[in-house]
Amino acid sequence: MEKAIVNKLKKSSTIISGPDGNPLAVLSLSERDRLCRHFRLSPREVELHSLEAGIVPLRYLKNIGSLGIEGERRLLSSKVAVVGLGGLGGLLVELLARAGVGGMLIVDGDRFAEDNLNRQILLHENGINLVKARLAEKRVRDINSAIEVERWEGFVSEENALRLFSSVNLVCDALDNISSRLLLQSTCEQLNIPLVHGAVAGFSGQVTSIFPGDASLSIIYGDKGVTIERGVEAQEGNLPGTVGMVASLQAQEVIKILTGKGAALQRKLLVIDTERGEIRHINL
Amino acid sequence: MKVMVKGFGAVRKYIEEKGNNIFEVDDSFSVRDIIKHLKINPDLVALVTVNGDRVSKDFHPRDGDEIFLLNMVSGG
Repeated sequence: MEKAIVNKLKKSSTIISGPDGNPLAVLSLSERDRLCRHFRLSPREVELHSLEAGIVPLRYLKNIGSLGIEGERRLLSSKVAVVGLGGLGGLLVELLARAGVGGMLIVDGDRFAEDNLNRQILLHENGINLVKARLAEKRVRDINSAIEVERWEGFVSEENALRLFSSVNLVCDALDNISSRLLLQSTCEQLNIPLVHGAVAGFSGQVTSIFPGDASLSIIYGDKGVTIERGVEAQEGNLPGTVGMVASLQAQEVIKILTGKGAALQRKLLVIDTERGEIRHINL
Repeated sequence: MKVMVKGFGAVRKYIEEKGNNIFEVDDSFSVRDIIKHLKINPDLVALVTVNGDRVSKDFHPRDGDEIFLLNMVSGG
């Protein structure tokens, strides 16, 4: 079977000039779908076989110069949870689906409200009152049919957190309140998986990657000692550009951690103030 | 002693309202005292650095230090 797939993949691929100028075999979407039908495999399975054979699904070609075939294979083999499908989570879902993160668990118990329109990329005017997780799932499927996406229409709680995230390699914190963020951190700690944190308020935002043992959110938010649920966003709101920047930085953290490329923002908080165009790192 | 106080977002706005970010404060002041002295809501300050190093709000800065106050953000 394995050999038959590789032979068929080779016959179905096209040779182009790769990012490094050398010949590179690529597989188009239509050929991928033909192979899915032929071997009764899922799009993700065919794409994984393809990458393992050194053949790049054409849709990922522009990732390969930076991530390599092995990096792309790692993304496609991974499963990531995006918790919170508002401004940050909506864009994260979009970016991770395009990058080719093969498994996605999307979590939010909320529906879209009219005041979400300024920044939440999943929402169009006709989507007000619709369930966020359902629109997010549809968006992922529309962007990349190879992604295996599961949705949870609910909120993370102490009762469900461990079970929810037991099958994922990494969690993205795209929530909007401090106590749920701290719950995510303790859950990831117990599951021994990384957590990519992002938060915004008005013109400012922050990103960090938290590995088991770091407890960075406890440093930032003061563990259980914090008596407030929200930061200055209660007064300043959330601007679309800041949300886009922070979600994009989170997506880059996810990609770096899953592929092993670059250096994650571990024990480092990247903070931005776009009103003054300033960026700082704070060691945690 | 004189210290320079900087911040992001809402915290920066508190500082800017004073018209200057260099403040003459009592030598015995901790960062917490300076936050209080500048009438900044302490709940808005998540982290503090002095000359780039993260410190607690009980840290006692010295003359000429740069104090950076990070605003508390948690929106998504």
